[in-house]
Amino acid sequence: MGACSEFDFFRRRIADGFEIEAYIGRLDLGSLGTEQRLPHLHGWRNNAPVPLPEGDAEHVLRCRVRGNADLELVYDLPIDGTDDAPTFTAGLRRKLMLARLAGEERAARDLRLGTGSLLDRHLKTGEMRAPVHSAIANAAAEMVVPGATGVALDELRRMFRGAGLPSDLHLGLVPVQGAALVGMVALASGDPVREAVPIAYAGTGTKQTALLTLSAALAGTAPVLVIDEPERGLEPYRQRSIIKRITDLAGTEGQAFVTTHAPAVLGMLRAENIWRMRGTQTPWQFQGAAIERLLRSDPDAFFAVIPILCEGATEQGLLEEMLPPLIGRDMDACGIRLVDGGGQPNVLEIAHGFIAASMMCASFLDNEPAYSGRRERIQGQSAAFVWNGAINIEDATCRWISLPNLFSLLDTASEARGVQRRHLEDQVFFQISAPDRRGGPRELEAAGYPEQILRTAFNEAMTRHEWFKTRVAGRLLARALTDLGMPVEIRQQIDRFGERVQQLLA
Amino acid sequence: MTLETVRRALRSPVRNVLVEAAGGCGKTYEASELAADLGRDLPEGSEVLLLAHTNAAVQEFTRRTRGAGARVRSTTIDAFCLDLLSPYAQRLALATPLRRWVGIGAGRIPFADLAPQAVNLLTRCPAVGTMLAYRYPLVILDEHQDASVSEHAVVASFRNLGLCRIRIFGDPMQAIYEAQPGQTVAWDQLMREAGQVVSLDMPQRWEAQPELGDWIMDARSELRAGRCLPLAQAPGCVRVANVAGLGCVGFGHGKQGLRRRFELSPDQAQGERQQYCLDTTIMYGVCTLRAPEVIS
Repeated sequence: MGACSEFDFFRRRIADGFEIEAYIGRLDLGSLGTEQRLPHLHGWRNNAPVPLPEGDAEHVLRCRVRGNADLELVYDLPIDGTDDAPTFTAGLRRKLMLARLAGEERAARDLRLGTGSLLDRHLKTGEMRAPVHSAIANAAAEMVVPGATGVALDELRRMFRGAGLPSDLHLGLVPVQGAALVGMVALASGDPVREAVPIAYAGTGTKQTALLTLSAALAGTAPVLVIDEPERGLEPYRQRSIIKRITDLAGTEGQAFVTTHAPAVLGMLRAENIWRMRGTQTPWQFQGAAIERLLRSDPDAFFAVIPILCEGATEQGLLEEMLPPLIGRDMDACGIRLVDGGGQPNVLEIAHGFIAASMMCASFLDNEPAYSGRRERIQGQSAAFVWNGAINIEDATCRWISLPNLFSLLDTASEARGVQRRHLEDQVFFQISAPDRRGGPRELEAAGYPEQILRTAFNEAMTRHEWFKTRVAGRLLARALTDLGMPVEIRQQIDRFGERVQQLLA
Repeated sequence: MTLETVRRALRSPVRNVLVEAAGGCGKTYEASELAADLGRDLPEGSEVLLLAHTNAAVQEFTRRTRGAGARVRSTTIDAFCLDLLSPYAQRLALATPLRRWVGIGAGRIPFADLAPQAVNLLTRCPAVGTMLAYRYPLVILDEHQDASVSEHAVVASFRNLGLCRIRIFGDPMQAIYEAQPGQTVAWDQLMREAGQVVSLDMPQRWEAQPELGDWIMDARSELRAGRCLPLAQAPGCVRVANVAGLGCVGFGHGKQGLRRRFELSPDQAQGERQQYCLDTTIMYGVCTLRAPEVIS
């Protein structure tokens, strides 16, 4: 709970001020009862405030911080029906163990022995004053004054003597006015001591972790932690580690509020504990097992402007190639994230979770006979692509690509699967029922099969033997289709989806 | 009962001690001393709560406990309820700001409504009472014979929480209000609730005229036993004065009540109007011993 700056105001609208309200539960009534002014309680039931802590409502404290046009922070406990709200005193905030983990901007101060600094609270430095003064006096005595300065100093002594002033002049080490000498003492690390570097000048990550460690040691058993982007300056493994420490610190009784832009941080949290904030909209909460799985597999998706939930890795790779030209921009530049949805039921569940959380999303789905009802609902509520006239990309390809080009795809699949073309020819050949076979697998193209038999056999082989079932394979397929000449039936459908996505972006 | 016994009982761990204190027997002194004594060693943030009925009594307690280095909060029960209720006013459908709406007059909230509202709050929201119990480990109630049922219930609602100790000072013989079942707290009930009952019955106020103190105690016993006021045995310093208009002041009860209570013998009754003044004056004199007309 530090001072606020003009940057804390929404869009720097200082005249508007700002106001943040919070309800704090799990109160120690004994501790509150002995507050200088008895705080008044509110109730909390079913995740919402109620006026009185009666019946099965939990008793909670409603508190507020306001920033006014004079850049002052006002902490109080608002009362409905009157502006005369009692102050939310620093004492009460401390009692509630409302701990502000010092932010990076306070590192320089908190890693020094200033009054009330984190370091000061740890070292309880009442008796440090004398040693500091003596160390500085010694340092001043040992200071070697260069010749020219010495001459100038002699001149000053002479002038002082002439003016009847004290003339036993020395150069001393004196703190800057308004600062305490003891404030010059800071935590430093390095050996030898003369070469030690102040921790306050260390890298962002080290500073951040040092501050968390110091704050954590002072927090009580049920702290309320509010931390802005604890991941700053840390590698993903240290981001995960700091989140684990924050979670441990909050324990089962405390609570931590953390803002983050780091997938590594998000991946450590449970879906029910995540709210997505955007602009001035009400934060959205996520729920559901599929969302939980996505959180582990692709936490990036939750930060996207539009996550596009793909049926599988093939579609993810396919769109990776095909979408950018359609929207005319790099996908990262417009916040699109292609997500491997892990199958249609999962995609539908994730889409449902996103829609329930009022989050924009799109999906790219196979036209399977199952799930049609759920699919239609999702289609009605978000941008959803469903193959028309084909079941999936494999079916669409085998259905609409020209026959010679279908054979060219054997080379693409060979590259994608890392197997020789003839293995793939074998796979196609053995999909043809025995009575229909003509010649051997090498004669597939020349044997004069009826077109439909070949198309069906390719489709079966491609699907069963998973020719394009990875993201890379999906990309290869897309490139091949583009190079070979995209069938108009596929082109039109994907173009339409591209338009929908562009509309969403707009 | 010796003062020593009373003081021991007051400072004992017994949760609820009732002190029957006749006028002039050192009630205010003992209550103030108790608050000052126990208010010194309370944990940080806790206070002795001393509840009186009048601002005059609060001022007297404040004067006596000030400078004792003790944490004592003296206040009237109305002010206590008002403080407690103010932040909850709107949520209890009371006018806000409550402080501005309480008082006498049309559309205002009478003081008498504060205690029932406080009981309402404390009954509905036990957490509020729990905070009070932690804050006030010792509650001293002054002149509690005049407390209404609701006023008594305010303290009752948090006294059983935590380790709250209650010390009730009162004298049924000084009740300003006629005992009205359901409205004024019954002395019998206080006796039943108390873990220990002691009495302050050694006259302290008339050290210079001990015979007056003795007679007042005798008179009190006689009245309590339902007998006549022993005016014949009164020491020379007791003078019976007629105070014109006193009957109109109204102490909350009518002539019938007075007559029953005092049962003056016929030779002492000198006409109804005069008798009323006489009764009232003497009752006032005996019971509160503040009417200068009686004591020379």
